[in-house]
Amino acid sequence: MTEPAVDDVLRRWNPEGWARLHGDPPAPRVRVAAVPGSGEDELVAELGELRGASGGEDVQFVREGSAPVVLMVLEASAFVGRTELDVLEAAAQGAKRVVCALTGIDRCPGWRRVLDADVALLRRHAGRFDGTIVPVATTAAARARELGGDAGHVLRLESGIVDLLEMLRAAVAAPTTTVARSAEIARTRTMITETIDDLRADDGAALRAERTRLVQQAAAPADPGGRGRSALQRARLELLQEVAASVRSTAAAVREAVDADPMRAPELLDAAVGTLNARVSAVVVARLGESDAVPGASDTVPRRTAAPMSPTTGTIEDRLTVVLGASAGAGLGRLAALPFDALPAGHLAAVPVTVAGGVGAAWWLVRARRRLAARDRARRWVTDELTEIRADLDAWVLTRIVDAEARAAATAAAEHAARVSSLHDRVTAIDEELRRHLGERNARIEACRRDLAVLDRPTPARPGEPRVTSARPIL
Amino acid sequence: MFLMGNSDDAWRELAHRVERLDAEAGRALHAALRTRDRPPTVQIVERAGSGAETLAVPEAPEEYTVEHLETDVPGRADPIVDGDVVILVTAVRRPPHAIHPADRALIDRVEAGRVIVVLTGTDPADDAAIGAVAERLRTPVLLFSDTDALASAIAARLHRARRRRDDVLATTVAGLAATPPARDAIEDALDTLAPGRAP
Repeated sequence: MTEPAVDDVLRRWNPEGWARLHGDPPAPRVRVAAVPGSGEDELVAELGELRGASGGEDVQFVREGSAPVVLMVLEASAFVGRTELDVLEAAAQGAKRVVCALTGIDRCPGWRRVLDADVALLRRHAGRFDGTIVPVATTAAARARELGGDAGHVLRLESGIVDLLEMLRAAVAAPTTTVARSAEIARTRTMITETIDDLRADDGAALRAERTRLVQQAAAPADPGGRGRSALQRARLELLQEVAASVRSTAAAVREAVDADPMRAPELLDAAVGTLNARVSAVVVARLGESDAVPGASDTVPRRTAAPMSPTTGTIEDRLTVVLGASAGAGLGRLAALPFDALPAGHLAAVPVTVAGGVGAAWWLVRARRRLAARDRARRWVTDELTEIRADLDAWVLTRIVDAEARAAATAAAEHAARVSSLHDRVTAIDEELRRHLGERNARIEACRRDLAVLDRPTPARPGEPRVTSARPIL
Repeated sequence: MFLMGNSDDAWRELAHRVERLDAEAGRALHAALRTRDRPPTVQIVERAGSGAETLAVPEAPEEYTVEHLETDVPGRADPIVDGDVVILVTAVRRPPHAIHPADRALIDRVEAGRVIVVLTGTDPADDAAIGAVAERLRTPVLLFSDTDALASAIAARLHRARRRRDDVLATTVAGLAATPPARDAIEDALDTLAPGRAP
């Protein structure tokens, strides 16, 4: 794999890092990081003195901001803790090299134990640690500076300050392209790895959940709670009760009118039935709706032809009434003619009186009997007719309810079919979207892997530069 | 709230009497007594590697248990610091008033009256450094080698802890739910054993 390929990956994934690599070389700055009180002030002061004494301003020490090299100052009185690791982690962001120094070794006799423990802790917990901590006796360095001469030179060497400054100079002066390139490649690799993790995590869970929900909806019954059927059953009960109540009230009204005028019973019944039918029709239409959706159904109750009333004369009761009326009239006439027996020749008048009384009484009894019989016949006829009419009304109402049930079932089935069809369309669309999404995701993961493979391949060394080794991502 | 004299026997007698009158209240009183009578704890806390394991723990008039705890250890949560006496062992820093954040957090967590700070890595004659640390932490600071001062400080805090436990015992017993006869016995005893308790 050629370097342009690596450059291309760096430019696409980490344009800022790529720009840094191809821009001006960074300033030779060293950022000093420490938990306050670690002796960093004295150390930096001595480093500055030594740097000045050895000539040159090749290293600049700063406390804030980014720098290619970080000097992490640790102190020998205790092991590295979480606090020091946090400081190191914050300061090492974007740095190419971290150099650690252990101060206070002249005050702490057991500093070697601390040094070993710090190395182990940093190796375990700090990703940017290269395994080296430079022990420095700052007080000895200051004394060496005061002594001067050979003794001072020896003491300075023993203090470790010279080693530390040389290490910092080497870190700052290291081939920028090599170190920086290694750091940027590592950072870019981390970016790609994180992107792959994000892509793997995005498995379309939201779409799958939506699909599951839609499938469950499509599998639901048309009338899950049976609400439509319940409503129709309730309507059936209420309508039959309404028919019964209407027929009862109509019967009461018609019987009252027929009692007053039995001969007009057909006429009165016809009018009352018309009103009854209209009322029941209105109630049914209001409750069940129009019936135009069902062929053959009518919104009004069909009128039935009333059966004719039986004849009012010629019955055995009528003839018996005539005989009884004549007998009773004869008796009454004889009773009325009794006063004439006391008169002379009164017997001549008794016969006509008796006859007249008998005829009159018979006529009145027959008339009364006929009227009562007509009323009874009319009442019976009305009752029979209303019974038939109620049966017709019940049948008509039940027919309308059956029609309404069929209509409701057809409507629910049609709506359910439309909803299921719509849901299936949506599920199909989601399946397609999922396939496309997963395809794109896999393609992007594959592209990321290709870029990672490009970065993982060893870079050919340039003449005069050390070989760049693949740095592993910071975990 | 003060206890009068050596009242341990009186408390135990009260516990037995209450137990005869109300078994449950008696058990609660015995438990409160056991809590008060458990040995006090002296916790020696340090950032790992500070050398606290070499601290000479002095003897005190009463027995106590010693626990060594480490704070700010990478990959581990800080331990619970709830001893009757807490000795923080830390090294003097450069400059001395630059208190390590982990030490500062510990001092802020623990009740001031229980803490003793023991300073390592400093010259006994360096009063300025000791003063700077004491001023920053607002707590007594002792030298690592000053075992006499440490013994006195521990004894004083243990005595304070004992009084604190007595107060807690009196408060606990005063709040015990008990039958009327047991309650009367408790109230009579509290009038004698803890006359200054709040009503």
